[in-house]
Formats: sequence, C-alpha cells, structure tokens
Amino acid sequence: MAKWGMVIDLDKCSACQACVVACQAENNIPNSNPESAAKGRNIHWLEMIPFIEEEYPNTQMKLVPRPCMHCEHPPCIKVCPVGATQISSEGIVGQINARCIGCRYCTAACPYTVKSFNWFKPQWAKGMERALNPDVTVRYNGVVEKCTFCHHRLQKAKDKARYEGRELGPDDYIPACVQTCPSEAMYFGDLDNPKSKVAILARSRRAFQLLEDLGTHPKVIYLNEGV
Amino acid sequence: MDLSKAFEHDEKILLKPIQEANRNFYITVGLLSLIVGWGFYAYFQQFQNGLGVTGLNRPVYWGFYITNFVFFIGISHAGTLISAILRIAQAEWRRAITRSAEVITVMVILFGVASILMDLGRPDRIINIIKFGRFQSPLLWDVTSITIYLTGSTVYLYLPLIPDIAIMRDKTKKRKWLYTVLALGWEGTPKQWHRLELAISVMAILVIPVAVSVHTVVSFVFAMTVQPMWHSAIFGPYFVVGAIYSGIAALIVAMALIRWVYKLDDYLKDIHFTNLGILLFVFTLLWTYFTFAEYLTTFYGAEPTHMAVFWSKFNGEYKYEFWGMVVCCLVIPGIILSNRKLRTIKGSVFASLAITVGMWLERFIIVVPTLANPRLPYERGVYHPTWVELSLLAGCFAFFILLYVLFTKFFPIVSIWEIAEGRKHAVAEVAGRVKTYLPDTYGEMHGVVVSGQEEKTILKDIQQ
Amino acid sequence: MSNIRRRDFLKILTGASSFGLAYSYGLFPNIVEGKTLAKQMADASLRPPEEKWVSSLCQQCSGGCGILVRVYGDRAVKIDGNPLHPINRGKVCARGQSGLQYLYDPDRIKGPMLRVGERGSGNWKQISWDEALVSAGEKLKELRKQGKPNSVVMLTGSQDKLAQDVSERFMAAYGSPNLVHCGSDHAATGMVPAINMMQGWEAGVVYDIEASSLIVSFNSAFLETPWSPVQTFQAFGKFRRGQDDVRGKLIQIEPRLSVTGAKADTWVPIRPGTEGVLALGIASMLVLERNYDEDFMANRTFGFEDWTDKKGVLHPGFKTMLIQEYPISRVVRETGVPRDTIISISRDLARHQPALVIGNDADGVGNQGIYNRMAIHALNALIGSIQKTGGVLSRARTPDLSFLAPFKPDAVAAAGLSRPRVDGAGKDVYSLARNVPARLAERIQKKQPYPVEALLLNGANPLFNSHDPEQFLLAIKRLPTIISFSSFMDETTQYADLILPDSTYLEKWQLSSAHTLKGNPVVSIGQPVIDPVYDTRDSAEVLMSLAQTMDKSVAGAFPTAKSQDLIKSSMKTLHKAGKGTSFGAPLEELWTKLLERSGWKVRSHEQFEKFLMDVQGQGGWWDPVYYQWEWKRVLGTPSGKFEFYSLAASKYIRSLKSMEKDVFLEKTTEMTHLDKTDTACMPHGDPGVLKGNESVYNLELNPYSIPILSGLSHTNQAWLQDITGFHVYQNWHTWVEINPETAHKAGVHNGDKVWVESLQGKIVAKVRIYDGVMPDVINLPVGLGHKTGGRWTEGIGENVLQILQYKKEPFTGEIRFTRCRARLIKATA
Repeated sequence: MAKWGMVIDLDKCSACQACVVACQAENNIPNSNPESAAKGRNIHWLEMIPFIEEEYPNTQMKLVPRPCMHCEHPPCIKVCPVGATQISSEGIVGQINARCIGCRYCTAACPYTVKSFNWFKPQWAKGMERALNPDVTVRYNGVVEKCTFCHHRLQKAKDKARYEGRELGPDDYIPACVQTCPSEAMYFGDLDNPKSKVAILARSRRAFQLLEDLGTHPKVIYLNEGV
Repeated sequence: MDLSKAFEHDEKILLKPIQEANRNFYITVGLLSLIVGWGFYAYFQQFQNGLGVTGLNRPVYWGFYITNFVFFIGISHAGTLISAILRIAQAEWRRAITRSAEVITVMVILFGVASILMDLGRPDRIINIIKFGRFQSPLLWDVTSITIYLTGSTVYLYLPLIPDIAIMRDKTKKRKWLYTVLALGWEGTPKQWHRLELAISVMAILVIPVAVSVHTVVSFVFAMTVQPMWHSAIFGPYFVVGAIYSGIAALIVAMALIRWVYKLDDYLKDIHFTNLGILLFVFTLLWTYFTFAEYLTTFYGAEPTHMAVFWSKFNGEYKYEFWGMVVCCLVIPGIILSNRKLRTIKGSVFASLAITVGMWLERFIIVVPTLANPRLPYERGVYHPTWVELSLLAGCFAFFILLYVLFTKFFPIVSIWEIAEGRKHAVAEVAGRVKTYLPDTYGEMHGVVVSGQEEKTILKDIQQ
Repeated sequence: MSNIRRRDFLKILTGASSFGLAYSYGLFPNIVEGKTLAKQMADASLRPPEEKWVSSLCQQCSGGCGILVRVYGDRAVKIDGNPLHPINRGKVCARGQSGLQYLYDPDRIKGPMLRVGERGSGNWKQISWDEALVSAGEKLKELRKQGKPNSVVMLTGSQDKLAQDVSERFMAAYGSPNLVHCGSDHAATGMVPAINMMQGWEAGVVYDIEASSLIVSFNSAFLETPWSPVQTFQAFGKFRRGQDDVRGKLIQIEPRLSVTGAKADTWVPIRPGTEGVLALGIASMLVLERNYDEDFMANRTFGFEDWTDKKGVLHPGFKTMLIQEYPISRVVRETGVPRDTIISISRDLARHQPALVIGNDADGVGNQGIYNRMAIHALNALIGSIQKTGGVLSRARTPDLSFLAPFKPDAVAAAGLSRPRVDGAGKDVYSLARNVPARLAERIQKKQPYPVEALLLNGANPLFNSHDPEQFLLAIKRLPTIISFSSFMDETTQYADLILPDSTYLEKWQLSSAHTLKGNPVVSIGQPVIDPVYDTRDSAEVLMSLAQTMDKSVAGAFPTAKSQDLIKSSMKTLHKAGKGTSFGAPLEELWTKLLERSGWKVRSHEQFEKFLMDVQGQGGWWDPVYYQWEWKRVLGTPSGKFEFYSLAASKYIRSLKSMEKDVFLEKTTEMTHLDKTDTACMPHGDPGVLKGNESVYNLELNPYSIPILSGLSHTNQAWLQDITGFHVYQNWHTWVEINPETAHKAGVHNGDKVWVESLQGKIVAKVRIYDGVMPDVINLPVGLGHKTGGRWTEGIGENVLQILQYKKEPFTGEIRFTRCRARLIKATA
C-alpha cells in the first residue's frame, strides 16, 4: 500500500503562490471577501506562510507553502467525536463533511491550524458556479474542511489504471498544487517506496518537517534553503 | 417548644412561596422571559445563517460558547457535590441548603449541554454522536460523563423531594395531580423512610466520583490536545477545584437571593453563610495554589509557544481578562473571606459575585488565548464576541434564573422534612454523636452505669 | 498526437468516472456527496457531460504561457499548463490559475451598451450588436467623410499580437496615425530602452537565469513581477537545484525585503534610487582590481577607454569616469551599503561565472531611470556576460506572422496618415519615442496639433494608471465620441458613450509572440475554449466588421472578419518560412535543433494542413535553435559594439535645439564633474531629486508593485486579491510597511490606519510593521485602489500612484513614478 507524501524544496520555491490559487480552483473553495478576510475566516487548504526572523538589517524571511501535513499520527483524528476525520490506509487524512457536526475540536487540536471551518453557507457570485470542479463537492454551512491531497484525483487515477488493466504508476496521481508549481519545487509520490523521488528527497540532508518534535510525523517534508 | 407547632410553622413559611405569587414575581418572570426570548431569537439567527454571526474565526475556533460550557458545568458542582459531601459528613447545618444547591446543579447542567449545542456548526446532526460516536475523543467522554451526572443529579434532587411533594399533595389544592404523580404514593411509612434514606445515601456516595469525573473530563477536552498551555497534567484537579470554587460562590449568591426574596432569614441563617464563607476561603486558597503551580511551571519551562500564550495573558491582548480574573478570584475573596469582620452575608455575597465573574474569566482565559496564539504564523482573526454570543450568554443566565425561580414556585426550596427531621432527631443525635467523639467517661470505662450526678462526682475525684 | 490521445482517453474516462464517482462516496464524501451525485445523475441521465482539455493561451499577463483548459460540457472548470509549451512546460502561475475568475466574473459588461444619461453618470441602455455596430460605424464614417480620419485616437493596452496587428491595420486603413499604446503610463518597457541605448537592439533581452551561477539583482523583483513569470520561476528552480553540483547564488539589492529578497542568499538594503551609484561603484571595484573581461572590452565594446572623435575631441571612457566619479567612499555615502559588501559583491561577480546582473525590469514603479539601468547593464558587459549562456541573451527575431497582403491606403487615409501624431511621438524631442501617452491629456486639451474627435479605448485605462488622471479626465470629457471595447466597467470606460465589450481570452482566437529565457521565438495560438459567456465579441473581429462597413479601401484591407482566418493565414506565412516546429516532445525538438545546427533547413511539416492542425492542437510554434554569436544582430549600435558611450544618445542630443538641449542636460546630469554631454551619453547614477521639505516630510516613500496583481489588466479576482500582501498578513486593503523603529518614533502600531501624505496628496493605509524595510523609509504597494471595475476591486485599497512623484524619462518621454518624501499622520476614526 502506498503512503502518499509530498516534498517541498524551499530552495527552489519562488513563493509565487500558484499552488495556493490552484488549490482554490481545484477544490471549489469559495471566494474570500474583505469582510471574511478581516475576520480571518478565509478558507485556504494551502497557504503561503512567512516566518520572519531577526531584525533589520539582518532580517530573514522564510516563505513556506503549507498544505495539510497529513500526519501519520494526526492529532485531529484522535479528538473527533464522530469519526468525521480519518486517515486512509494510504495515509491521506480526509474529512467526511457529510458526517461532521461542526464542533471544531479538530481545528482546535491541529497544531498546524490547517483545517478550515465553513462559518456560512459557501456562496458563489452568480455565474461563477460554472467554474466549479465537477469532481469535488461543495461543502455546506457549519462543517470543517481540509486539504485532501486532491484525493479525487487518486480515485480517478485508480479508475483509469484499472480500466487500462495496469498498476497505478508513479506519475498517475499528483495534487493540483504539485501539478502547477512553476519552479517544480513540489514533489509528490509514495514515501513507502524507497526508490521513489519523494522517498529519496525525504532522506536528504536538507529535509525537515514542521513541528517535528510534536511527534505527529507529517508526510509533508520540506527541504531547507541553502547548500 | 412544642414540636408539632414548630412543624406547622415551618410548613407555613416554606410553602408560602408556592402558594402565593406577588407582582414582583410576575415582573421578574416577564423580564427573564424577554431576555430568554431574545436569546432564542439570537440562536435562531445563528441557526439560520451559520456560526459566522458570532465573532469566532480562525484560529479562535472556540470562544464564548465553550467558555460558557466549562463555566456552567463548573457551577453545577455547587449542588450535588457539596450537598453530597455535607450529607455524608453529616454536617447538620446542611439541612436548609441542600435543596437550593441541588437545584442549581440540575438546572445549570442543562445550560452546559445547551452551550455545546450552540457551539455546533451542525446541531441537526447531533444524532451522529450516537451513530458514529468514537470513544477516543475526549468530547465523547464528556457526553457520557455529563449524561450520567445529569441523570444522577436529577435523581439525587428528586429523591429528597418526595416527602415534600407528598406534603404538598396533602396540604395544597393547586396542581394536586402533579404532586400526586410525583409523590409516587409516599405515605411516610417506616419502610418507605428506610428505603428513601438508603437511596439517598447511596446516591450521595455515587454522585461524588461522577461529579469529580465530569469536570476532569471537561478539562481533558483541552488537556488531551498538544496545544500550548492546554496540554497540562494539572488540568483535571485544577478544573475540579475551580468548579467547586465557582459552585460554592454560586450557591452563596443563590441562597442570599432566596433568603432575601422569600424572607427565609430564619432558615438560611448567618451561620450557613459563615460556614460556606469559610469553605469558600479554603477553595480560594486551593484555587490560587493550582493557578500558581500551573503558571509557574509554564514560566519556568519557558517553551516559546507556551510563553506566547503566557505573555498574551500576562501582558498581551488578554491582560485585562487575566488580571481581572486575579482580582476577582484572589484579591477580592482573599481580603473579604479572611477577615472575620468582612465575612458577613453581604461580604460573602460580594466575594461570591466576584468569584462567579472571575471564574468565567478564568474559563475564557483558558480557552481563547491558546487558540489565539497558534504555533505557526499566518493571517489571524481577532476574537470579539458579537451580539449573538452576548445575547446567548445573557439568555442562558436568564433562562437559568427563570427555571430556578419557577422551581421555587413549584417545590419548597428549603427541604421541609429535613428541617423537621432536624428538629425531631438531630439535636439528640448530634449530642450522641459528639459524645462518641469524646473520650470515654469513667463509668463506661469500668463497665458501670453511672448517673449524671455520679459522673460529675467521679470526675471531680479524678481531677483532685 | 498526444492531444488526440488525451482526448480519446478522456472519452473513456467520462464513462469510467461515473462509477468512479459512486466509488468515491465512501471515506471521502467531500469529494462526492450523495445529493450532488444524485443530482448529477439526474441531470445527465446517468452520463456526465463530455469532457475535454482545450489548448489555449493565457492572457492574464503578456508572458505568453500555453494553457490547457478542462471543459466539462459547456463549462470551463480548470486551467493548467500545456506540457508541450516551451515557455511554461505544463506549469501556470497564480494569475494563470485564476483565469476562470476572469472569465466568469459576475461584474463583466454583459453586452453592448449605449450611454443614456450624463457622461459618467452610469446610466446605460442595453443595445443589440447590430445597433452598436451601426452606431459606432456611423460616427467613424462621418469623420472620414469630413476628411479628418486623423482625429480618431485609439488607445491600446495589453493585447495579444493578433488584436494589436488588427488595430494597427485598422487605423492605417482608416487613416489615423494616432494608435497610442498606453498599457499604463509607467510603461512595462523596463530595461529595454537602456539596453537599446547600449546594444542597439530594440527587441530586448532575456536573462538566462537557469544556467547562471550568480545573480545580482538591483531592486528587480524578478520572482514577483517578471515579464514572463512561469518560465522565470522555472528557471529559478533550475538555477538553484537544476545544475550539477552548482547551486546558483542570488544577491538581492533593494530598499525593501521583497519576496525575491526573501528567497535570496543575501539581502543588501540600499537607499531607494541609488542602485545606479552602487552598480557603478561595483564596476569601479571591478576595474580597479582588473576583474573585468578584458577580451570583451577590447573586441566588443566602445567607449571603455578614452577615445577621440572625428573632430579630434577627447572623450572620457567609461573606465575614466568610474575612477574619477565613483570612488568607493562616495558610493558608500550615497547608497548606505557598507564598503565590505560592495567589495564582496564585486569579487563575487568576478569569481562566479557565468554571472548575471538584473535591473528593475517589468516593474515600472521602481526608482530606476534609464541611466541607472544603463549602469546596471554595464556590469553585464564588464563581466563579459553579454550573449553568454547563463548571461544576457538578446531575443531572437520574431518570425514573420503577417496575415494579409499589404494594402494601399486611399487618398483620405493617406492624407490622414501624413499628419503628425497627437502625442508627438517620433518628432523633435520625442524622436526616439514610439508612443508618448503622457502627453495626450495636455495635447487633447490644447487641441494640438488638431482637435481630437473620437477616442477608441482598446484595453487602455488611463484614468487609473496615468500620472495625472484628473487632467486626463478633463481632456476626454469634452471629446465628442468615446467608444470603449473594455469588458469591464473600468475607470475610463465609465465615461464612454458606447461600449462594445470584448470577449475574454478564453472566448476568442488569439496569437501571441514571446521568447523563452534562452531567446528562442515562440508563437502561440489561443483557441476559444467555450462560447462567450455573455453577449460579447472579439474586439479584433468587431474592428474588422466595422472596417467592412466603410469605404472600399478600408473594407478592402480586411477581406475577412474572422480572427480564425487571420490566424490561419499567419500560420501560412510561418509555414512558408520553413523554420522551427510545432510544439512537441523535447526529443523531437532536440532532433530539429541538431538538423538546423548542421545547416539543414528543416520543415517540420510538409503539408500546411497538418502543420496548422499540430500548431493549433499543441498550442503553437517555436524555433528551438538559437544562434548565440550573431553579433551583428545583437550589437546593432552605430559602432557595431557594446557602447558604454551611447552614440545613439549622442546623436539624439546633437539633434536637439540649443534650448531643448540645455534643458535635457540640466535634467539628466545632476551631479557630475565631467562634460555634461558626455555624461548624458554614459551610464551614471541618477538618484533623482526628492521634492518637499525634509523636516516636514520626514520619510522616504518607496513604491512597489503588488506581485500577484502585476501584469493583470483586470484585478477583479478574489483569489488574487486574497493573497496580495501575505508576507505582512494583509489583504483587501492598502498597507504601508514600516520599520519597527520608525513606527515607534511615529507612535503607530500594527493595524492602525494612517494617512500617508506626500506633496502630491494623501491616502489611507494600514500600518504593517515589518523588519524588511529600512528605517525612515516606508513601502507602499501599487496596484489597488480601483474606483470601479467590480465587487472585488472597487473601493479596495488606494491608488498609490496618486501620491507619487513622477519624472519624464529622457529620450522616450515615458513617465516614471519614483520615490518621494512623505509623512505619516494618524487617522482618527
């Protein structure tokens, strides 16, 4: 069984945010607006977060694209009272929106704060609903949603492979953010396969994970900047 | 004094609130109902539009509702736990106050549960808790524990009510059918009395661990996550102490109100307030001890993520709430309750009011700053409650008071039979009990039955 | 081929996906929820609509990326990169991803409209296209009849090549010389004029970032606002990690820590506007330490050493100038960059080969004028990075794409065309300029050289981005006719009499010409992805239809009114030339390269039909071969060499009348000990003069373009507005970046609203305390503050351009917005 994981090379990343918008487009995430932004209620499954260190003139800014970490030991799953957030056998942490009761315990428990809540019924300006991805359901008022590593793409890729009577290949399934990344800083694949690109990169000297010491074992691995 | 006359007098005074209702009562009920209605309207808005009508945001996913939940569940420790402990300890001064304490428990748990429901994004899916419930989640521990506590407390409130209900069935004309049903055919036979007393003492023992567990698992909701200043082993006992602390305070306020409104000065006497005041002072110190331990540990550990939360409480955006809590929970009660001159009824009530506010702030200070200071930096919302949350808070309080007021109009808020029992047996019983505490006297020592007169003489001899 | 395969596959997939959808309703019902599934099944009677990927062309900016659009039934649902496209190789940037928000924008103009109320009152009547065309046609015909076709002015903005060529041809056939390109006053020409002065190559250069081992960037946010973002990002990835054992090093010199600065290895803060001085200081160090490319200096440059002209006058060389004028002490004093840093940059440049020096390019709101840019570019020559892999490569010639045979203008048109242009471009002081939109307002108001009767707005919005919108409004308010082709109610279109809304790039045929970062020419074709969402029409087709209703010679210039036909004939021209190939797999390209290199002229497709099908289906054509050593083309200067002393500039200055000359020299050479004319022909530090009282306006305002919005013609896109200032956690509002120290002094806190006031005006901004800004400098982002244009752009933030100081560029007359003095005033409620 594959263990899907992502490697993001911060040295290659140009912080262009293509991944951020690609994610919005792929996953039918509703538009933000000034009001929701001012309240911090915008939904981003993936966002670019700046870590600013040191003071002028030695200021350093690390820009980190942050999807869901898809932890091997996800703190969000432990706390869900109804099992609406679960980890699949392939390591993808998903959210069953149709079951979620909206208690927001998982959002409060996630140390990476990657989960978003639908404070209102998601709405699209008239006409804009035409751009919705038919493979992804729109969410409802009052439920939590999150990055699924574009799980619908995995379903499709599996269907395609099954139709063609073959095994799922290494390039058959990648999330939208990885697909669009202009500087090719994002890699995606099977971490359990020691020969896969992601597994090789994950062993690199530059590899690190966000908040490693919490023991969540994120499957999103970053490669540090510098030599 | 003739005991039967005293019983009659008790009955008259204690049933009076049920039989009579003056204008003030209707005004109070009317006002409270208005606030409750407004609360319902606010909730309707939230139900219709979504939780967006509140001030909640990312990362402050939990705010007033969860604060209220913890607070109300805390207050609920007023009754059952205190009453059970006093009963088991056979504290005779309990007789007049157990009922009012137990009622607080049952009523306020309802609002604890309601607060959770208010907080849900999808209250319509509440059935999923049963359909898909997962016991790994501390929230489910809460559900279980609170359900048991609510059931237990209700039973524990109901059992001692039965003889009083029977009195009302026999003595009053109003709502006779209701009392007849609720009295469960109580005739006051020795067998019934025996069974009742047994049931009460069993419940009293059962209810204590449940009560402790309730607030422990409430604390576990926070402590079981890895979030800074939540993930703490002290949280279980800390929450329980805080709960009892706020519970006693709430009880004092409730008793003072009952005493004032129904003029029960003879029943809820100064001694009750003094005793509770002393208990409250003990808990002030306990609570302070726990708070000190909690914050000092964090400060010395000095983990950056924890310190971010720590400073936001001490010196940051939540400093007013934090220092407000310190003043309300430590400074005010500390000064008033440690001083015999200030520990009057008015003083204790004032201290209790401060503690009630302070403990609410304490819950807020536990819930919000941790969420507001997540580990990773990003665009953040600032939490300011909206009219909806404020209305619902007001609504909950008003509804609680309303239910309480209505209870006093249906059932005696001071247990009639327990007072009677006190008058009949307690004095003798206590004297006997006190005797057992004392060192045995000479005669008993030597297996000789001696009269009082003889005893005195013997004692004199010994002393010489 | 692969396109066909993809389609086949998708047909199969649509069948498979219905069971896939049902299958996925298990653990992940957020992917397919029961209700939607049922609804979909009911709607499509158990069969989802047909699904295909259509290749097209992204026009969110002029980068020229090829895209594939997922079309589901009649809906466009996702944009991704075209993997075969040599510019973006399957990738798209945030703007490209956001294209659907542009297409389905609910605030687009939904059909032709006629003004019914006062001009600018916003009262419109929906009319039919027939009515609209008649109405527009009549006005234009009338002017032609009166013999003043020249009184029609067309303003164009960012457009694809097809629309541009059609506009040009239309204006020529109609008889007006007044086609003024004004994408914005702070034109996106960037480094081009500077490089043109030194290399004599108008088409501009590309930076071979990918193969470089050191990039020194002078206030160039090339990771944020490059002219072609995706390939720049791609090249950056390879620059960092793509080369064997070499990790490219990036030094970013800029007053504010931009995203590019954040990605750099070193950020060198510098006083705004002094980049030229620093560049020359570094050059001076290179010269002093003899660390420059001596071969290149000797063989390919002019004006490095002192030289004597034909008359025997001695002119100082670049070397002399550096040593005399740019001692390190001066550079340190003026730029605020420490001496050690200057020396280390200069030694880095000498040590790392190939190295690249980049100036502020597409970003027009920077502080660099032509002289600073020349100074920066001069460094490339000094280190020998001109035409070197990993250095600066000049763009190859764009192939001939002419679509129609030349036509002969009739007498009316010829007379019209012979009149001078309204903006005066190409004459006198503006002899080197193609377009001078900055003069339009004044000239129209003064009715010079003749009154303007009609204004056609074709993608331009001067009321937002010109340097003086108020004057522009005064000028156009009195014009008899204003016709707009905008698909958005932008600031200028508001004042139109008639709107003929254009279709967006996903609804029409387009053609673009661009270059890879290796200099190869790329021609891309954009197909309509879906039918127009609203009642809009391709503006090129509208112009052609208008032409066809006019006099015979005008109509004759356009035998067709279909863009598709033009593209077909363009491709015929391209096919005839017999070079290059349609996009394909890298292997095929390698083969073509090999053949062409060895002298074979390869025609990738013998038959035109097959060629057209491939070019269209795969997204376009390109020539993978690049001739690096075409010095004649690359160095088109009078001397045939890289000129440190620009002979073109010298010629221009000599051509000026004496008064004009004095003014020119006064303005361009502020501080120098050398001869003014000599200085004016050479790169020199040009920090500009800050107006205003320093004691009142105690801060320096440094403007910069918001990366995510730069290059966009319409900013009504919520996805992008949401991530404008992510580095300071601010969006949907104009912010001002302030150093903590400065903020403390001014007594302002994070999130406070303040007035930022300069001599030119004041705006409201939110304080963002940021360690990436120099003390006493404040940064303001440009790109927000639209007054109209849709719910996600109007009233969002402030137009920072309003309060900036501006300067007319020498030679071209372009307006350059610069830094200025400013102060903060706390806003009360």
